[in-house]
Amino acid sequence: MKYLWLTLACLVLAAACLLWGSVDIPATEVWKALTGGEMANPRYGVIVIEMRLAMVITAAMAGGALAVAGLLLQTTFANPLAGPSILGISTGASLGVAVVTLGLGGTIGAWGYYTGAVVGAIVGAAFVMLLLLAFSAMVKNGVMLLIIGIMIGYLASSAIALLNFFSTLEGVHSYMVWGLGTFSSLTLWVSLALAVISLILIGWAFLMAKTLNAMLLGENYARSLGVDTGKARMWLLVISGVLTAAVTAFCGPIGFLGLIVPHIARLIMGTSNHRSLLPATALTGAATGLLCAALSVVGNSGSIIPINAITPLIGAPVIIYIIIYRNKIAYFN
Amino acid sequence: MSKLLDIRDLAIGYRNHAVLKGINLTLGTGELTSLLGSNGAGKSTLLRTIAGTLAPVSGEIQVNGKPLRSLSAQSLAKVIAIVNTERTMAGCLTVRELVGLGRHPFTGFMGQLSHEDKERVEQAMRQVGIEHKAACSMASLSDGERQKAMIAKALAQDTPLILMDEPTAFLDAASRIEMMSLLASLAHEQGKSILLSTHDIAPAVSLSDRLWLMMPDGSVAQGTPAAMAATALPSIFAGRSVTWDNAAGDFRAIKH
Repeated sequence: MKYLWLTLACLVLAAACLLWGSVDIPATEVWKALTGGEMANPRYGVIVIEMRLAMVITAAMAGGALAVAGLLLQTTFANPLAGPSILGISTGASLGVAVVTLGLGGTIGAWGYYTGAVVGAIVGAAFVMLLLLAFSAMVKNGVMLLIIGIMIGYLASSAIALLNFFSTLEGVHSYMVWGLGTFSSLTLWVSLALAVISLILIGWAFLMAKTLNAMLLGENYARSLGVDTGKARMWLLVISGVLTAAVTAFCGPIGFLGLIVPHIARLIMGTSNHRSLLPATALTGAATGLLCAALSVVGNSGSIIPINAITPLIGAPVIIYIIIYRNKIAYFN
Repeated sequence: MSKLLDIRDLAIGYRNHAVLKGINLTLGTGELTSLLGSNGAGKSTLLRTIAGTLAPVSGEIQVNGKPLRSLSAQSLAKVIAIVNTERTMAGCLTVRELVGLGRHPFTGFMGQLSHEDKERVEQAMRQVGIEHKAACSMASLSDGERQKAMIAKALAQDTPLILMDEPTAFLDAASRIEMMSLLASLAHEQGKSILLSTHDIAPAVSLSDRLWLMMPDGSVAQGTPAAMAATALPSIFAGRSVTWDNAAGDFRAIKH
């Protein structure tokens, strides 16, 4: 039943994103564009399909992917405040993208750019994950590990600042715009590529639900139940790292979603059982991504607000609420 | 009494640095054994080594005649269940879901419980008397109830041996004694071998079948409570300001 409501929320928000935009397009024309009917104005087709539909797919997939990545990190590190942006994984991915975009400049075409950015982001994210993995073997305390993650993020940021300093003005500008985060710069085909990557990895994560549930009890209990915790931890970090890297390469470093959505999903579902929590997290992530996308479209002005200007508006209050009421929230205890 | 656990010339410690050497111990089927000793004597290190989470520095541990080291994580999970007092993130699971995690070694790829698994879970909850809380979240339980749920999880795992690291640590005095007698009846009625570390000397002495004592000289003594009270037990806190009171079955302060 709760899945139904979440799906419904996704559909309503997707419809809002398709109907609302800088160009007034009647609902009947939007419907015709989507179903391939005869339209009053052929431009409507391009706007609805190439811009709005691509944005809907991107927002839903990026939201779902980051949320699932956050959930996997929270369970793996047994820390409710873990998330791809807090642990420095997003920043690592950004560094990879910075090396590609600032280093290679405009010498590569659109597909070359995306391939380079995705590879760069995965390499950057993987590097941070390896560091985190090494530190997590030494530092058992979750809060200390978070602080190490934040420090790694700062180190990556300083490398990015250096790259910016030695780059061209155009390079700096395009990197800065990318860094603000957007769901609306992808073409339909690129958004579908993001969808394929995200859905495969989310499906893979779902197949690890049994292991994730055992890991809720902590490392020693999980091992006593027959879980190879070292291997499980490695695969969970690979999945969450690639999910984060893919979204970061395509949409920029999107903050907060990976951190807050698993909490919202737990509050909605009232359980930590990953067999129901993981699909709910993916759906809640998609809905939250779509909400951010809908809010980013400002009336008829034709401009789009950066996503990273919106996510803290939703994210910060949720985190503060959770910290203040943590004694009443079951999954903290 | 058949031997379930046979420990021969074991040295335990971290990274090849032995903390304790020359340990020889046995554990019988259907017995409640309490591991006693002062803080830092190596109780947890010994339990972790027997649980297989810490490699022995040297020597051998045999479970049912097979070397512990030869068992895969999967087969080990069918022989040894553990209960400890670590913090978990399981507050949002119901007691039934948590106890169901004990069936992990037996369930399929997605961890769905079969009809038999579910019956075993209900039975385990009844055995520890937590069935009335089956649908409650772990976070809503008292410390004692939470510990009972963890013990039910270990029972649901259907292992011949259950290891417990200070299962009575956060309980009030009454709950500690209730917990120890629950464990004694599980050992005797269900034929489980239970090995637990504890600081509750009196209930351990009165309710255990055997004691393992971590001695100040680094040896580990074993025997029935009666035999140990007459020999090794009075000296486990040698050099401290306490003395063994045989009538009370507990240590008391030395009067000046």
